[in-house]
Amino acid sequence: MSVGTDRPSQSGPEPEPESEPESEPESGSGRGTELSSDPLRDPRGRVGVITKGSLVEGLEMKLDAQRNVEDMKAGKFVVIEGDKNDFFSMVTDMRLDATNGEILLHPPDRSDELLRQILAGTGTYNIVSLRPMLMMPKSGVAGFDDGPRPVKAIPSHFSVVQDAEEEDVSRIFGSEGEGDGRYFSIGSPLDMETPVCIDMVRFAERSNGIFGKTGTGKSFLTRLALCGLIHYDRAVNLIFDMHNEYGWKAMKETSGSNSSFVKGLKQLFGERVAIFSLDPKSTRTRGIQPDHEVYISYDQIAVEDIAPLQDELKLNPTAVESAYLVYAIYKDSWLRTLLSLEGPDVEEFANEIGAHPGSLVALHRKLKRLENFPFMVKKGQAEAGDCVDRIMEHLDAGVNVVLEFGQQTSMLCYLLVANIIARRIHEMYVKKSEKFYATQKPEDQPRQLMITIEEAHKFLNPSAAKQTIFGTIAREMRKYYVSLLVVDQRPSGIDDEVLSQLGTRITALLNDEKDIAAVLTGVSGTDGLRSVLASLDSKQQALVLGHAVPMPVVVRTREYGEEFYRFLGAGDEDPQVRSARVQKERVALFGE
Amino acid sequence: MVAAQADAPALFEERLAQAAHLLVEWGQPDRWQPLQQMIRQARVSWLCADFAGPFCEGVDAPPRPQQLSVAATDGSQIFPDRHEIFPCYLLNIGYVLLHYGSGERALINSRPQLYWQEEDLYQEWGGRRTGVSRDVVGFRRSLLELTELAELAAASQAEGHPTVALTDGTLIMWSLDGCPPDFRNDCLVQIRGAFDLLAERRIPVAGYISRPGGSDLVNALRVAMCPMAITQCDQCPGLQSAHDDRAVVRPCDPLEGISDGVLLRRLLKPGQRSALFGSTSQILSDYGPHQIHFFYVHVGKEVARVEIPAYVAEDQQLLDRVHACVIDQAAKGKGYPVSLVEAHERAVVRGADREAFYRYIEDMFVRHDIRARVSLKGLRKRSAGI
Amino acid sequence: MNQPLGTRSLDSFRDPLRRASVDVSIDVDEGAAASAHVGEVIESSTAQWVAESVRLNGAPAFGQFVRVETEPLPILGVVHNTRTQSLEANRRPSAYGKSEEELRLEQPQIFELLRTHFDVFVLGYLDGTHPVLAYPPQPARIHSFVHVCSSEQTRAVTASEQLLRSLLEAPGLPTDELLLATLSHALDAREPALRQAYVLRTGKELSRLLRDDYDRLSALVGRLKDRMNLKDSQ
Repeated sequence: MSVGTDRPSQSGPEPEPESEPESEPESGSGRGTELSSDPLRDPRGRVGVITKGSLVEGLEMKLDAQRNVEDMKAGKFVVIEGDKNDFFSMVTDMRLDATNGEILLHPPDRSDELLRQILAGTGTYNIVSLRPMLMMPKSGVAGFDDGPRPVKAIPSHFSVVQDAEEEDVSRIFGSEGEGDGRYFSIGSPLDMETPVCIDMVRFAERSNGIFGKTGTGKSFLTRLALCGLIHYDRAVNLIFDMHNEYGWKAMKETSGSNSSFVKGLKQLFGERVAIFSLDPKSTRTRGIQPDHEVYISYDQIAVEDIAPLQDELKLNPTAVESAYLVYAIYKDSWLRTLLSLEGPDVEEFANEIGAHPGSLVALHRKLKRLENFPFMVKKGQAEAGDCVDRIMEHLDAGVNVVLEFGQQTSMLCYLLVANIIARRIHEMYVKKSEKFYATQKPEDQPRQLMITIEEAHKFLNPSAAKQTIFGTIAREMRKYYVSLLVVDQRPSGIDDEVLSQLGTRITALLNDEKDIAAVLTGVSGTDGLRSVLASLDSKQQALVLGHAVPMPVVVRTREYGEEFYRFLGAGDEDPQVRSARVQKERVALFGE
Repeated sequence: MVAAQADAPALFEERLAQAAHLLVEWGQPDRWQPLQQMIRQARVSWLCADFAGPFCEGVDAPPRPQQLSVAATDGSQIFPDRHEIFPCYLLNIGYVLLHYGSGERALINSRPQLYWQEEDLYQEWGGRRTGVSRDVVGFRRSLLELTELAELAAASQAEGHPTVALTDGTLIMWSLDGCPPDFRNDCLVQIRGAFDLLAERRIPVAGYISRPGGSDLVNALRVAMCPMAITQCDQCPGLQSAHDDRAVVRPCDPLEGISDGVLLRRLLKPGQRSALFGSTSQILSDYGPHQIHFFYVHVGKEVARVEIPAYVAEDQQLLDRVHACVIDQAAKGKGYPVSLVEAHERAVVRGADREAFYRYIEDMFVRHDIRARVSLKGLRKRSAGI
Repeated sequence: MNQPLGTRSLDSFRDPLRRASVDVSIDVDEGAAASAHVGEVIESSTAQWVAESVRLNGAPAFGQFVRVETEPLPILGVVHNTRTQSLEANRRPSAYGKSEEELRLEQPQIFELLRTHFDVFVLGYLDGTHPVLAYPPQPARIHSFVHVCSSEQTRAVTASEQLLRSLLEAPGLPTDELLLATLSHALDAREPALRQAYVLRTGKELSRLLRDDYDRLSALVGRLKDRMNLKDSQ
């Protein structure tokens, strides 16, 4: 067993309690020397040795007797030192076993310390299942400089398993300083302090998902991801902020009475973020001045926008057809026209156009609800042009847009507005992309846009996925420079095809088998991660896997607080520096 | 016949009672001397005991001195065998010195002695020179036992241990009478020498005879029973009946078949000894001052005969010491003196030893390149085929 | 018989070979005895030897590590059986109903007729100060002297893993009793501070070797613990 020379002694990881002074060599080499009274500490955080396994099913390790099995947490990051390669692996399962059934039938007394200690590691032992995620040739072996790559081989019997070290983590995941602002830390591995970074370039390239049970901190994860994207300027974001969490400050859920607030995107990034509000009154009540107020005129609503609302409105399929019939005649003003009708007129109208009366009546009735929305306005009352155009302007200029819904938290509203705006934006992007493909001029290249939607299963369930714009966006990938950031607590509700398009998934605790399976859809090498997912802490822990990380990793999420703010440059800044920066940004946005 | 057998014990018992009665009668203080006279005048063919005093009562055992040492020897031999490679012979003497009351280690050893020189292997017997007989080897052995015993006891006493010397068997070498005079005299010289030494150092020596067959005392009682004024066996009244074609019935027949030991068993209690008697064996005339006396002692399991030289018989302290010692020894040895048991065990030469002995001799011969012939019989004895 | 009568010494009657041996009287000088040998080999084979103890009832303790000074190298063994019996097969001791003190005073010949023998199972040999736990090339020579191993030697022998395996695999040994006794001696040879660690290490080796017999292991460990507690309280 050769040990790579590029592993200096550990610094930082927590000391393991060692009840026995001498470690046990599994290979059976004789020990002729006597025990001394000084405990012999293994300086490299040795965990155990590989005993069984296969490439497909993962490896098993026998835990060294002096390591406590309680320290082996699902998701812990370890390194298997093979002869030629190091295998970076994750702990997926732990098991207790005994050599002899007799021991379990007549277990030693709690008070029989001697027998328990004797049996530890000899008669009773702990097996830890590991899943190798990446392999990397040791220094001196060909291919060392290529970096980590997918696992194609397995280590031999009795290969030593060590705690992972800082160097390993940064070697695999990169560190924030390097790569021209490519790597953004989202947390650190279990029981370690080293930051784990996501490759922001790759993150922005594809659609991504953030999942977790209710209350597991999806908003924080989303905020982190968005901060990363904005800070490194990898994509411009359009965030449909259903619960008013992202724009300005949000409540931090702490136990006890002392709840505090965390900074929102606008507080952190200032002019680089614009807050559009669907409910300006609510926004102002919370102490923020929205940059724009959003109004939607009836003419902006197309039939395609109604179709995804079928489930929500409980519409008949024929209703949509009826809508098309209306549209066929009235074009853009179909809705206005429909809604202006009253009572029996609708039926009559239906007959006029040849639509099914009953469904049209139903449609009419249900669409009437739209009139209740305060942001629905008649044409012409929209402020300074189309809000969608406004949004587009901001996005073009690289300003991120947070669309607050204020008090308008009904599902119907959310679905409707999100669909409308997203569809329009998408159309624009398609045009821009096509123009760029034609001219090939760099200034024509559209900015990568990432649209954040919550309750994604409402938009992307198997039936809706085919109809909503989001399904389209998800399927198109980066063809038109638009991708999704999907936030959901019920990933099993999302269409499989869409799921498989999600490049990177950041998952907090999930319980439901189906949800877990859904999260792992479309990513290879995820056997054994099920148990890891189910064993995450309910707060501040997430599993990150997919396109933006070389291997799945469990992280303790980055602390979203003062230190983070300072990192983003939004801490207590020198006012002059800040005003200079603001000036610069204004120029960039609006010209001299 | 069987009926006759069935009656035998009862008849014997009757005769024994009669004998005991006689013993007590004639052992009285006023009767023993007349009996002594009668015996001295009698002309009989058997050996009669000589009396030194009344003998009707037993004598209790005195206490054994707290510290006492007992020396004992016994011997054994490998006889010369004409059929073997060389007619040498081996005497093996076992020594035992047991210290009582001091906790000192016992001495238990043995020493073999090989006789191979000309003068040892051949003897002049009736004018002819022949290979030494088994008898002679036997004599040599008995002698060696005695002389070695004397040396051992003397050495022990010299180191400050009050010692008693014990030997197995009689001190009276009556069979020497049948030997050539030179040999006989030579033996007697040695015997007297040994006794001289022991007497000089005041070390009592005793010969212990288990299951004694002697009937010195009973024979004396025969004289007592005899109706003749002066007993003369060749003129026994019982012979007359023989002329009448009937079996000889002698007046002293009732005492037939009763030995001293059997008789005294009725008289003595365990631990007691009888009175002292003198032996009238012929050979003793050449023993010089060391006339041999004897007594019988009840050691519990049996009545044994103990023979002592005159210097012990005349010394009450030594006599008591011997008496106490013998009782103690027999008790320790579960009926037979333990020192003699151990001496015997050390002395005895077993069959395997004998074989080893001859093989060794043969090896020696071979090693020294001496041609030797073994007779066919010898060969046959060595390795009997199937 | 050339010497004048009555001048031979008692010594001339004694067995010259046994004259030199240590007196079996009760208060023996311990200091003198310490460096002296405790036995002499009378039977020898590759796997074991039999020694006659110098002193009656003076054999080394059961489970004691011993070495025999023989050619080419000293051989190490462990005492697994001690017996006292009469010298001759046909003579057997019988009960007297007396204490040993009394017997020395009144039946002194007994002590000359009994011998103590002890059987030693061969563990290995000593190469310098380093014990090698493998059979020696040649068995111990007859009449070589047996000594008790020093504390240092005992520590060296008991430090090896092979010891337990040798004891467990050897046929015809009272294995569990012997294991306990040898471990007890091993502990005695170590300072109190090191004993716990030694017990643990040995316990683990035993656990591996006895993996199919947990019952036996737990019984042994229990007895070992009792033994240790006894030592600690002494």
